[in-house]
Amino acid sequence: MKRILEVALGLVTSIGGFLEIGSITTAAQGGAAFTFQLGWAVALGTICLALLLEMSGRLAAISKHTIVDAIRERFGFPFSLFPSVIVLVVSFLVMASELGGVALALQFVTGIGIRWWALPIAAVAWLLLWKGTFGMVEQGVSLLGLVTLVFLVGAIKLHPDWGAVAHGLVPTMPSHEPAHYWFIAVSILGASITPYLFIFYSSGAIEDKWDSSYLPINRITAGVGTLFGGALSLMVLVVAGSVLVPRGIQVDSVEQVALLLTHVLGRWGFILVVASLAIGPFGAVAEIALASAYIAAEELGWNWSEDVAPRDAARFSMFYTVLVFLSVLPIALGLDPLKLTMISMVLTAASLPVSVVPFLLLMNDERYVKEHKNGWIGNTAVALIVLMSCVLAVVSIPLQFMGG
Amino acid sequence: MSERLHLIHDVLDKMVLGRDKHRLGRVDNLVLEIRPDEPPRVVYMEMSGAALLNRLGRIGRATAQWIASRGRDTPRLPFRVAWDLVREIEPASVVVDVDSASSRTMAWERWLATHVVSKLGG
Repeated sequence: MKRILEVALGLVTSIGGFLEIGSITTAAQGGAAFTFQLGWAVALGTICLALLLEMSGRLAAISKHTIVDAIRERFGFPFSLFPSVIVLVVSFLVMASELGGVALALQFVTGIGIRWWALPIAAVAWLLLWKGTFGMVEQGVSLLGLVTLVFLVGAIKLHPDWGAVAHGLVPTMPSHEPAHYWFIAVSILGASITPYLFIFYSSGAIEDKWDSSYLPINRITAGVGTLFGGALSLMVLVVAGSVLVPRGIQVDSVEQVALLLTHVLGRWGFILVVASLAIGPFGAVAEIALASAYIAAEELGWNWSEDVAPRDAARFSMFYTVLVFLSVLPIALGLDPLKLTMISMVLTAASLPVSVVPFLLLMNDERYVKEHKNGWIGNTAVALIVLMSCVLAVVSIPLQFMGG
Repeated sequence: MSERLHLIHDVLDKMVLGRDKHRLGRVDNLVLEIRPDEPPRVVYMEMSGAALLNRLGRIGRATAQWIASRGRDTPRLPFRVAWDLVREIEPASVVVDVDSASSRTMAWERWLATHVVSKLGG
């Protein structure tokens, strides 16, 4: 019975915690600019994330190592420092953009500018981390995040051409604006395959003291849960494609995302989308801060756990404290949250090989995962998707900027 | 039956736990003693930022030396644990006979806990 509950909670966490500002805005931009044609990017990103989450849970359950811990131990400090620093920097940008997302949602409701909201939101996120437990951070916010199911309801009520949606799951060449097409495709991939997610997941598995008996639960929550979460992301693209394309509207601000469902769901559509824009990114802020502290603590051998009092893991707690409040700066200084989101998602995609390749090597090392090594399908799929994301990012960034 | 120990693979960079199983840090460096007419032997493990910097090439070593010499009468040495104090080498950690509560490698942790975290209600 306990295991069934754990599976149910894991699924809810995967679904409710999937959508955040990166996945919502990139999918909405993709739908607004290319209707359903970029559905494949959402699908590929989701499959890759599901595979990586399953691997990170398997690594933790079998080897009792988190990803960062194992990379440091297996490859040594001079090597492990590089991926850790890159992931920390990129995660910081993502955290700042998520904070901007929550601030925008609050601005819609109150009319008070986002700059004024950045600090209070950071303070609440910090309080959750300071006083809460791992379960509260992971599951509490995700339960509230089930409000994002509104995109599924909205998509169904819009009666899109489901055949065209299915057709979009197959990659095709763009008919117009190729640089913009590939830039958004990379942003969607970067928003889906964010390294903090699988680092957080593996540290969480250690927090929850997983062993090999958790492998089936891991497969279900990482696999099925993430696929359902990805389906929600696809629904954002479907809604944007159905609502904005006929009106010729491009998503150049998050306000347009907030109004996506007012056409079919009226005032409640607005309220629930704004709630989605607030809750998902808020959970992401807390999770990224925690994931970053896990990275620093595991890299340097500090005491770490979200389930102990902050004084018992003082450096770990102070690390997320400083980071949460530092993430206020980009928004407080006036950076546009949408631009910050797009840039941080593309940089995430560009940096993926740095974090994923050593992880893949570990997943093929019997000293860590024993007989539970990766199969060739998982290896090939993840390697190809990550390589493609990186190449596309490197090519599309200059093209996008040259094209304005 | 004797067992082989690969210093780089089995010890370097592993998590170090004190006798109370609290994390003390990582094996940031290993120091061997070269003895005349005798084989070299491991004398201690180092744990500190300076030990890590020493592994980052010329710039890292120069930075470590600059930090060590800055404003002090005697250079600040990395925290060292004598090899004799190693009690167990587990798959994920090295257990040493050191009290983590009073160890120098935890000085920062204790200072933060006392002067900052406790004042913030943690």
